[in-house]
Amino acid sequence: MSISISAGAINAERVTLEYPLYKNIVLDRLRAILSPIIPALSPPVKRAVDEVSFSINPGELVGIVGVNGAGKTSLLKIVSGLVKPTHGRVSVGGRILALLAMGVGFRPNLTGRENLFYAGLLFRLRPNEIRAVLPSVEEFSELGPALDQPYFTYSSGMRARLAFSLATHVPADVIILDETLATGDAQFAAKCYGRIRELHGSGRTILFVSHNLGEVSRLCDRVIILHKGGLLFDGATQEGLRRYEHRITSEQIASPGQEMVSADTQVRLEMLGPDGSPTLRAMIGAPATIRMTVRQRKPIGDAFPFLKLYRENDNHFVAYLHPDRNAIAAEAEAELVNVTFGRGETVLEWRFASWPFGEGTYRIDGQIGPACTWRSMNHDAGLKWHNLLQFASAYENLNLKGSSALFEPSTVFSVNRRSSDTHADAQHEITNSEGH
Amino acid sequence: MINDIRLVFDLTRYDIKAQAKETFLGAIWLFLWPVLQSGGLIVVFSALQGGAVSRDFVLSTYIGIITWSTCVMIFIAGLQVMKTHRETITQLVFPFHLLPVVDLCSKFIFFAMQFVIAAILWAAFATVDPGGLFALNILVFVFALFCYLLAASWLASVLGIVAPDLAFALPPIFLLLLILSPIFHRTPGGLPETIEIINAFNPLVFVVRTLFDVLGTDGGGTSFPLIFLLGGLAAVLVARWVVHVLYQELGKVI
Repeated sequence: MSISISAGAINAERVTLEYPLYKNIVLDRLRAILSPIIPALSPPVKRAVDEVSFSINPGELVGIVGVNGAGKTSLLKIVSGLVKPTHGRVSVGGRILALLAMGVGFRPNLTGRENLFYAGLLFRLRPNEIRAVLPSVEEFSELGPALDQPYFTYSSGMRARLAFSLATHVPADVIILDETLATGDAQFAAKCYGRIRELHGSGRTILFVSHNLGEVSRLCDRVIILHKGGLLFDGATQEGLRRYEHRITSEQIASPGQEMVSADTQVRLEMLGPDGSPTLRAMIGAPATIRMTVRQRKPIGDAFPFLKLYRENDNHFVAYLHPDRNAIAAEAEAELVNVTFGRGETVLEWRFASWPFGEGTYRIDGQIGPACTWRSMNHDAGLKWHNLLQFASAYENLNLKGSSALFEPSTVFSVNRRSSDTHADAQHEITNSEGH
Repeated sequence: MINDIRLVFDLTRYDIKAQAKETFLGAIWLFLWPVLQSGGLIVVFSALQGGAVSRDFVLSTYIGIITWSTCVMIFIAGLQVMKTHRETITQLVFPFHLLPVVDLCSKFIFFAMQFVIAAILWAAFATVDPGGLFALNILVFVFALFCYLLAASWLASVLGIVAPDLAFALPPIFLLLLILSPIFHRTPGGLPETIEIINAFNPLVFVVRTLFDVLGTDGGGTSFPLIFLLGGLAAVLVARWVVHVLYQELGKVI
């Protein structure tokens, strides 16, 4: 920490952090605390941050991304000086403000206003500095008369407002924010992101940790991706997030298509990208194909194949994929498209000109039911396969991330413009049904 | 250093304010509780001694008990201070060696007020004459005691992490030691030898004996607590060094 560094700059050289592994909490704590004096007493350790090096220039807004346990919070604790790295060195120029959790240090019996003063002291502000920022903090928090009520009466959203308002008004060269906006309501969260942009605009260095990749993509110039304590990527946000998404998709999804055998039938399901090659990710708005390959040792004759699409995170049933979905959905009196499965291989394909489903990880169950009409369709009979395919549905443009819609809405957007110069009307219409 | 003192002062102010809001009587309890405790103990011991106790005994016992109780209360609170402020230590960039100091100050300030009032009562109503340097010696005693308690708070803050059971074991032990202490047994050699040995190794007995020397309870006048003062200053320096080393890993293990 002794080398000189300009205000707002951060330099980390091969930083490693190890935490004790506990068998007996009290004994292992004792061993860990005594280890600086008697190194032989050091308990077994696990590595939370593994030789991470990076350099951040003053005024950069850097996103830190990684799955739970990747080492993000540990890295921030090292940068902010809360823990000493086991090996390596970190240099930070200027005053640091670390907001690693909302509401830390607030006293339940004090009022919101008293807590602003108290927490300001914990942030190492002098009383006159606190008094100077207090009016803007109060205004930003929008808590009004609630500021004179005891803190224990506050909802989690109000607590987040109070803490964030104070923290982002503390004069600091380096600001570290860890998942802190998640507790506020959407309106206040938007205001917070605005405030982060404002702070960034005023030249502060900001380290921003979030699982919300959309926000990271929209806010950050640069992203550092951690994986199992190590540095996976350090560079341009879009490129980094794309790699990160690929990585987590690959880890979440064992294989793009798995073969399943049921009696004399062998089934394989694959997701094909726009170029026709197998993929783990369907890009929203781009062409995609689901291919079902059925191999039969004995012919089964006419049958009715269909797929069931589920969103994995909440097991929400999203859609049936039938051979003729539109006819069934409209209850048209047309005959259903039954498929004849003879001996050998039958390949079925559901082609999407524009992949319509929203962000997330999906699962497909498959079924070959008995031949039927739309009136006698039976979703319980026949051969069934669970979890034939897992894949992710994602945006190519990461700035669009964050949509919670199950389906990408198909819209027609129109603009009517009257030119004041020519007095001529102009009309323009954009159909969004083919994606973006 | 000056910034730290100022920060401790401001945090102590809010700490007292927050504590005062927790009960109906608020900060009054900090005065009332030792009066009730020492009052009860004085009544019991007076009854055991046939009710014939002197005014000097009552006043000096009261001063002794509030001193003893404050030392015990601060040490026990010190054992729990890091646990209480766990989030502040792990989430805020804050010099956490100041946390035990704030905790100590918010308790000690009330003790000091009670102690000074009690000392004035002693000077005014005791039958023995404490002498001309009494006020100075009392102030030096209070300062030195603060130093001891600061050292004890720092050490207790680490002990509370590595030996949390102490917070449960120590209160009844200290109560027993109080009953066996020179606060109630002034005559030298008046207690069984085993208890005299225990008292000889009990640092609180050293505090009480020094206090009684400062009060001049034996009738020989007040005496300057030089060894007590030097010991207090040395204790602070040693404790600060010890916690500086032991706190290094604290953020990782708490």
